[in-house]
Amino acid sequence: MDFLDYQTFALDEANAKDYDLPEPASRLPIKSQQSSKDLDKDFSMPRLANAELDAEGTENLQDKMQKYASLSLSALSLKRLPPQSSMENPVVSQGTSLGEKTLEQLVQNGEKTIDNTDALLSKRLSRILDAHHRNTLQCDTQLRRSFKVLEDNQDRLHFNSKTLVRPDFVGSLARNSLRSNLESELLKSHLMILDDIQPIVRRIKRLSEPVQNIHQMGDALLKQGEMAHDETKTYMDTVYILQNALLKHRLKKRILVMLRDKLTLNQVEEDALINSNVGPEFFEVMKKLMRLKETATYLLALPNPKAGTVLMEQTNAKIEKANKRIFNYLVDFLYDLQSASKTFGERAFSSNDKPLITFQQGMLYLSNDLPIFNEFIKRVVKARSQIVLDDFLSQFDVSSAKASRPIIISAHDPVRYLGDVLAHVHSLIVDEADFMDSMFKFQNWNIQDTPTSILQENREFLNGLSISLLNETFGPVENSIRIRLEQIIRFEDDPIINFEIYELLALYQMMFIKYGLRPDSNLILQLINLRNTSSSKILTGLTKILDDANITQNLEKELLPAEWLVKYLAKLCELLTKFEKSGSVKDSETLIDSNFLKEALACLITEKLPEYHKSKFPQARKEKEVKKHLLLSEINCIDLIKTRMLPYRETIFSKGDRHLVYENIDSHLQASTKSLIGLETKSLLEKLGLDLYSNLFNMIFPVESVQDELDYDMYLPVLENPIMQRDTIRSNVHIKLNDFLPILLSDIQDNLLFHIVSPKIADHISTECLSCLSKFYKVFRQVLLKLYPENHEDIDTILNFSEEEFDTLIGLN
Amino acid sequence: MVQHLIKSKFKVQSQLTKKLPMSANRAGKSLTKYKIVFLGEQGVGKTSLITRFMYDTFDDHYQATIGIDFLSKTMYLDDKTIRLQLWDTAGQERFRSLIPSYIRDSHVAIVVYDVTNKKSFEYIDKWVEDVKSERGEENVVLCIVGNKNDLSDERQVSTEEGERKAQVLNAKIFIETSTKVGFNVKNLFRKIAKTLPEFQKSDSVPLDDNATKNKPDVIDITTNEEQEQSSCQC
Repeated sequence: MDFLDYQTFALDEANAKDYDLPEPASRLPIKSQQSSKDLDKDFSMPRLANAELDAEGTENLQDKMQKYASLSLSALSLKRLPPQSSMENPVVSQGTSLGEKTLEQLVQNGEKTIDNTDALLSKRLSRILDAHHRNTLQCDTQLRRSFKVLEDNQDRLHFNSKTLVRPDFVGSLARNSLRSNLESELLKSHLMILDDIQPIVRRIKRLSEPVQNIHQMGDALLKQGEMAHDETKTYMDTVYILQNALLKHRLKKRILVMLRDKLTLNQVEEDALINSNVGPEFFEVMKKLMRLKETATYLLALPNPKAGTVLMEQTNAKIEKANKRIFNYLVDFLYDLQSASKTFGERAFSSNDKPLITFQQGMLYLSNDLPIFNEFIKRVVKARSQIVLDDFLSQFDVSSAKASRPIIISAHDPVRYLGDVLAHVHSLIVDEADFMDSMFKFQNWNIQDTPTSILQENREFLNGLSISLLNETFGPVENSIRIRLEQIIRFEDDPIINFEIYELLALYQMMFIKYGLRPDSNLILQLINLRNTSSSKILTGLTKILDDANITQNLEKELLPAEWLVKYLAKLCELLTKFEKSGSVKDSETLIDSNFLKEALACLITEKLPEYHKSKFPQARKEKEVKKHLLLSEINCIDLIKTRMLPYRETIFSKGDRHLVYENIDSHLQASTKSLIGLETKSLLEKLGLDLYSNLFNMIFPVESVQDELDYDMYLPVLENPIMQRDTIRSNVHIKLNDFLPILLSDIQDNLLFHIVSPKIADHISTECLSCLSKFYKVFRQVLLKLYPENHEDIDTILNFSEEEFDTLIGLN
Repeated sequence: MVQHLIKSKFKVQSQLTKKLPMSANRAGKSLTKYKIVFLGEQGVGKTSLITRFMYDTFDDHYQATIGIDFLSKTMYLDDKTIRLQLWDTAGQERFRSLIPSYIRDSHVAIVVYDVTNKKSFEYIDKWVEDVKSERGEENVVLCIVGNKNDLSDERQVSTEEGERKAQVLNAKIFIETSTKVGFNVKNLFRKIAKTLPEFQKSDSVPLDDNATKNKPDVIDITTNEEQEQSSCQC
């Protein structure tokens, strides 16, 4: 601690200590140095030890100080102050002029001399401050700090700053007092430090001797070492070798520790694998095991695969055990769920349910062990199938107390029964799909931190797990469903109902596939089989109508279409109408295709109708009239078929090659009509006596093909035939012609047209017949006129109707 | 009666579930499923109603439903979870024969008509008749919904007419909706949920409840918890 010695900066030039101090720039023009100096020089402070101070009446410090002050003043008053120039220091001059006055007066006048004293003090302070200014700024700062410290400790050091800076004696006293206080404080502080240091010193003293011994020993050793330098070198080599060995061992240890951490499970993990519950901790260990397995595969690629093999074996053994634990956990979970469902009804998990996540995570890890995983899948399928089957069968339990009504076979509505069964299966499928999605859908599940091997190998499989489980669940149930459906389908003969069943099965097949069943799943295949059964039964049902009708037994006398045909066509039309409304008409592959129509219609025309007519008209081959009736009946039947199929011509028969079936019906109708026209024409010619001539003429050239008069010449050779004699012609034709021609029209109407249902066809037949007759009559008459040019009158008497008259009589005009 | 049975069953389940052992915690929460069948003429907006409820979307492009469509949605109401199974039927004539099989075991029947199509409104009687013949008068919650409420210029059926019809047909819920603008759709399902036995107040228990309580083989474990007013959080 530095003390600022105020006296040091006194203006005494003779002071040796101040020699080095540079003279500060005189800021104040103080010229009274001498007077002050003299004052200081001549004045000495009275000693405190003076006996006068110890006199009686000075008990307290105040009295002592008072006495001391009075002594000092008296001492001062004894000296004469040197004369002062009033110019230099008027105040002091003034004081000097009052030299004779008492000290009391001087003190009283002290106030007046303050300016002079201030000037002196200013000079001293400027010296102090300049001295500090000349030093570094640090000193200035230090000084400031010192003042600050002083200021802070003002109370502690018991000084008054104003008193302290007073230039007078009181100030000096205060400064001295401060100095002594500070010194006392410093001493105290030093004593404290010494007290603190004392034990350390004591310790150092105590240790000094052993340290000295060590020094001595070290010196001795160094001396010895110098002596045995070679030995040291050997030792150092050994040390280096050992150090290298140590480093290697450390590295080895680090590698082994790392290998241990990387390739083995620690005790905690081993314990978790065996004893902890299946949960996050367990799966962490599993994850590590999976990583170990991956690492082991890399080790297998080394030249010596022993390490890899051993590690792989160990890891596999642990994984196997862990998988068994997971399997047990999953099975327990499943049974808990099943049991809770049985007891408390349907259960559900939210997607972030911890047990569900653990379950799914378990599934994920188990999927790496295919045999166990498959076993678990089997359990799931078995459990779910049982639930589905129970639910399915409960619907048929009439005595069940369930809220929903049981499905009951209704004799009059088998389609409704099947619909109920299939609708319930539909609801079972969607329920099960819902369940499977909630439990076994991993697509949206966060499996980022799962070992890559699982994802790479099983991702696709796991993604489709819910769907495959759904399909497998319905595998065992399929048989029960099939039986329920088949018992209706097998015994249903009505083609319309079978068609509705067929459509119903097709619709449910589509809906079941939509909700997750695979097209090749057992249930769908069964539905396809049942569809095929019902489709085949549609045609069988139609055929059965014909078979049941006993077409060869119940023969009717009328030439109108038979009752069985009407019924059959009504059923067929009902079927076609349903088919039309079903919306599947446009489909290329549909139930009612060209083959179906051929079976249902073409066979009817080519097989059933001929069979029917053969039974009905057995004499048709022998008797023309019967034959005619046969043709009439045939035309009526085919016309009925055609008429009933007409509404479907633009819909069902317009697609694909179905139009051929309709054209086939039409061609059959035309063929029958043509036969009838031929037969009837022949009959009319016969009635008119012209049949022989018609045969003769047609043998030479078909009369129908005659175009103009030149063609008549082709018939000139007929003159050689004896029947062409005028008399013969007269006897064969004339009478019959005159007798029958007037009634020919009514005869046709009565015997032919009356039996034809379709007026259009009747009109067509009569027109065709009469046209043929008219044409032959015309050709025959013209040929005769050509053959007998000189006997025209005779010919006119034989064929006494002109062509126009003939046409008029048969109603062709 | 069926409603009552369902309710009783649920009460038993809910009570027992609370006392499940630890192992049963992993058996999930209790879930009751309710089947809702949507009926109505072609093009009235049955599918749109479901789509708006399920996905809050509307598709301007009309596509006829083929057969029967199925969608399900879980609703959380208070501390209960129910699953609504929505069966969307096709309005086309050729699929009509399928519909009775789905009405057979449904809890709620929603008959939808188009407020801009008088004919679809007139056909409500036929649909309700189908529902009643399959489920009877009491065993089903019958709702009548007038859709396309936003087309006010083309309206052919007034709200009053709809309300009258609903009263005559004894429908529990009548509401007009607009699936296009999403008006009243959630409200409809909220109303439906409130009518389900699981969420009904105890004072709406059927009258024969006392008779059931007195039966020797029926243990009544109902508590006042059921009386709490539930609020839909769907």
